[in-house]
Amino acid sequence: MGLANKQPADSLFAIGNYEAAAVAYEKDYFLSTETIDKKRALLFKSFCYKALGEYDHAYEIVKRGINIGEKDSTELLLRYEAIVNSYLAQKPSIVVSEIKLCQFYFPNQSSNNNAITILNLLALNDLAKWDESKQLLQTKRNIFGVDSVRIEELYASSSKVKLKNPQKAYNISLLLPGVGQMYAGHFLKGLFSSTVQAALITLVLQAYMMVIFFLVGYPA
Amino acid sequence: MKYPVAIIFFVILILARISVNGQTKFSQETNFVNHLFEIKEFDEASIYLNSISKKYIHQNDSIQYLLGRSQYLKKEIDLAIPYFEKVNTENHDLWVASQMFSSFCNNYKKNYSNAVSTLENLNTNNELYGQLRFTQLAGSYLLTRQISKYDSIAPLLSQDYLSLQRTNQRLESYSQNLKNLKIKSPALAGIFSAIVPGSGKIYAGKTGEGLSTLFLHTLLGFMAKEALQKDGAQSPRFLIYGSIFSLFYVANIWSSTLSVKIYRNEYYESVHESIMVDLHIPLRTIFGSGK
Repeated sequence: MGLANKQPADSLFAIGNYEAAAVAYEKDYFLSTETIDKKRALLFKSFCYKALGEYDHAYEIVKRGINIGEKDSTELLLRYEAIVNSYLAQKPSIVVSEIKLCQFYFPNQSSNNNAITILNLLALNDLAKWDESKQLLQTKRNIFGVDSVRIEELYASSSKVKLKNPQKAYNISLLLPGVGQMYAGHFLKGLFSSTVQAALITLVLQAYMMVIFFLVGYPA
Repeated sequence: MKYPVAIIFFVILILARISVNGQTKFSQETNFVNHLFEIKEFDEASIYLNSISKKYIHQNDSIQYLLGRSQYLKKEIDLAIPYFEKVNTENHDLWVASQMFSSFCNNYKKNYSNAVSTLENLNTNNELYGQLRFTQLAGSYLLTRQISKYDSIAPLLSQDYLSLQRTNQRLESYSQNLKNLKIKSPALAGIFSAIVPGSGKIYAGKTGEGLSTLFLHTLLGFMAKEALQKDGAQSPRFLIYGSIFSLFYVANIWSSTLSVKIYRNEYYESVHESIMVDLHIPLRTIFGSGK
């Protein structure tokens, strides 16, 4: 009974009609009684949205599948897809947490999976966590065939890159307008901005000074 | 010959089976569409409904209604209205539901005349639907500020229906607020602002703006006065500060006259939003999330 429902969805997927295939897979999910069929349906639905480039959507569908429970081989696939989709959605912090979950539930399979290692390295680099990234690369350097000396060289130069923190630029700008821009790297724009701000403040201060002198007595 | 009777009997049985099957098959489809609504996959619902529309020609009205609901739940009110208006069915519940949603959407889009005419032409013997109709009409009249029409319909609103009680009470309080609304004159605001800069704004309702322009004018006026006293009327200092003050003074009078109307429109806008929320609640309660 389950197999008959799968045909239309799979054929739609095969010809590339991903929107219609996604709905067909959701219907498979809705009508399936077995957990494994439900998970398979959701997995393939996530493939549809991955193909359409809607990575956040695909990730949410995969999470639905994982939440069904029952640790079987489909779950490993779903967890892997969670990692891939969150990376494609450019959310490196989620990539790292999904990898940790995958390692918790499937320790052997995830440590031997090269793709997961690569995604882990890429995500850690995106988050600028150089130490963790270097450590991981050292342990897994066999995949790439590099020696540990070369790895040290690589990371020595990258840690010198001073990444600018946007929050810090914002905070500096609150106190000293224009300086935030200089910090971000646009020195001339920052200089112009601070000059204009300073001129306006001077104008206002002059007005206040006049009021104070009136009250206190203008020193003739 | 018993055979013709037997054959006719079987034919009727088979036809009945087919029509019942068609009905139960369609109710399976609506269950699936409701499931899609629950997981908030509204686009998928639209795609699915369009794909099965040719298969269920008899149930086309239900399909149009559900298509309208999927656009509505996506908050695409413009796209929802045409679907609701297409529903033309003998199924009274379905028809009433689509008329109610259609008029609600028209109110949302500020097509008030369409909304009112849909409601006025809605005939029903069902007591709950009749009361819902009165509530929606009362809301529409308040949205168009037709206080007299609201007053004529208000006595007909019954307190017996739990789903409508709160809405009816809130509509009554809105009508009281509208009746007590003081009409402010822009000319008066301008005159006030000419005497004391900023007072016109306070009269219009924006106290904060009024006080800050008063403060600004005091400062600039003082600068100009100092310049006049210390440097004389021909000095550049007086000319600059004097002209800045005059500019702000004239602008203040002009913006005070405008702010009366602006503030009133802001008030109407917030009342509009509140009324729409209150009209939506009974619709959601009575017609559910996609039946």
